[in-house]
Amino acid sequence: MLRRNCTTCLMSFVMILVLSGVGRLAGASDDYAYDLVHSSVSFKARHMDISWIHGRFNDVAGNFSLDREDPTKSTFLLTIKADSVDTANAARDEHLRQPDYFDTKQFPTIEFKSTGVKVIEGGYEVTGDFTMHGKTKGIMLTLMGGKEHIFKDVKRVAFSTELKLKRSDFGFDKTQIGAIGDEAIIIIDCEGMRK
Amino acid sequence: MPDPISYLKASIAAVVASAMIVLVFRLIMRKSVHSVAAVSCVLAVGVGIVTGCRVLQFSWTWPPANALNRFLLIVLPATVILELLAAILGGGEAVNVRILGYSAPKRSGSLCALGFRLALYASVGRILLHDSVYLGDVSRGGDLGGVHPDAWNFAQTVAVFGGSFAGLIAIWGLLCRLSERAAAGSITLSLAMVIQGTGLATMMAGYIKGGSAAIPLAAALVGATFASQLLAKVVDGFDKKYLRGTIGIGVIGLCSLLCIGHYFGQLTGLRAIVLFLTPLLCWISELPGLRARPAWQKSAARMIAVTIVLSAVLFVAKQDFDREMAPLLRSVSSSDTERSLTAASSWKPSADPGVPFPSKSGEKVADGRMSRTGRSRVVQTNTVKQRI
Repeated sequence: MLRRNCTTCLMSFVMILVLSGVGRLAGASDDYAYDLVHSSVSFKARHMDISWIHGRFNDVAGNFSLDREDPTKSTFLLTIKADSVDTANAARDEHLRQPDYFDTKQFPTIEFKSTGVKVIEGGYEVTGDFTMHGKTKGIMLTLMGGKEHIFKDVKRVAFSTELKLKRSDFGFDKTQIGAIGDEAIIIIDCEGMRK
Repeated sequence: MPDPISYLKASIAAVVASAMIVLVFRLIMRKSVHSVAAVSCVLAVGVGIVTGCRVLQFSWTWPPANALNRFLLIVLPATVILELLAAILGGGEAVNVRILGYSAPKRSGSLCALGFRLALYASVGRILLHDSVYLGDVSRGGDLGGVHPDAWNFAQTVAVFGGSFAGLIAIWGLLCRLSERAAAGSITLSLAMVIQGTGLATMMAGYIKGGSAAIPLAAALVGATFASQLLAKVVDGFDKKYLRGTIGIGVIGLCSLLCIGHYFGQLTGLRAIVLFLTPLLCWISELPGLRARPAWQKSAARMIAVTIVLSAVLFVAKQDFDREMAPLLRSVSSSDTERSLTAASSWKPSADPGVPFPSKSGEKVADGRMSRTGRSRVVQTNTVKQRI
């Protein structure tokens, strides 16, 4: 009786081990969290059409799931806190937070949520919904990179991309688009740590 | 960027449109009827606001996404409708109002209008702050979700909404009470001045579009007031009390603009409270020394009292603007550029990497600290850098 119980327990343990291994193989996607220390979301916009003003967002979060076997199942999510805008000038940052620009009391976050992923040479082509200033529009990001690196037992992967946006497409007031141009270039360098 | 020319155009358009409505109504309705005259004044302000906003190219997207749009598309139209109802139901001595065959007597009409008024005044704050960080909507927070640091707790929410409701009722009630004793024209004009001052203060605090919303409202009030004053002088029976509806619109407009300027812009709380209470200075005419004076002197006293406080508020706002915002708008002067170039040309990298800025006197400065000379160079360079 005791022997039978022991055998049953052993068999169950082996089954659990096998099943967990199979499960790990079946779910080949890795989940990564946005590493704020080694990532950045910056932007630049034309000033009077002669120069560029540079800025960045200091508070960003996100995660992405990479499925190497079936990349179409990969997902990318990025949330930027609009309040964290930083152009190295406190007065200008305050102005940018006001409703004439980001309206951060009304629209506290800028978000990207992927809806489709396609493999391209050297990276991924990710389509998704970009929400800024309360308006959502479909955009396409060309994420270059994806190289993995293990550092202190933590797997890391990184991507970078650039996208051009027109502020007027996202509900920014056209009449307030003056010295600072309508078009902004957003540069995202993102490093993820496997969860 | 502020556009004074379009502000001027919008003001003129709003004044002309609102004045025309009052005059046209009077031409059509030859016989003086209280309700019709009161309705014309309210409609005039509504038409004036729409005209001014069109000149300023305000967006009219539905559903309204921000507080300014909610003010223009929900609060102002609701206020105009409320004041129209109040004019028809509350003052209908000569007009037999029928609602679904029911002839509303004056008393129940007044109560009905008051009910609408209370409901609107109670909900103005909630409408303007809808979906903002103050009301703790975290559904769009994503990974940064959670309670926003600016989100209010229950007590704060009750205090803000309750306070704005009580303030609105008190100011509207006191101004309407005053309009029964005195010429309403100066009260409406004072209100228009405060609204315009609020717009300027909001603009100087950095919210240009929000401040410019005050222009059509103030101009429409001025247009309706002047037209009604003109009719009061030349036509018998056009009572100055017909402007009571415009006072209601003005009070709601002022409160909304202050709410938008303070909670979404950078208009300070103290400045907003002072501006909100400034119209009450119209009561100065009821002080013992002034009460017995001729009407024009009392009107002048009201306007002067309001102007003094308004000037003081705008003076302080201008000082803040000059200190904080003006450097963003000003271009770099040639002297600044010259100074910067001189500083740049005289700068030589230190041989010691631990000393980022070599001092003229030659003393060594530890890493992270700067000599007085080095510090002045940094400030000079940043002066140019800090201007857009």
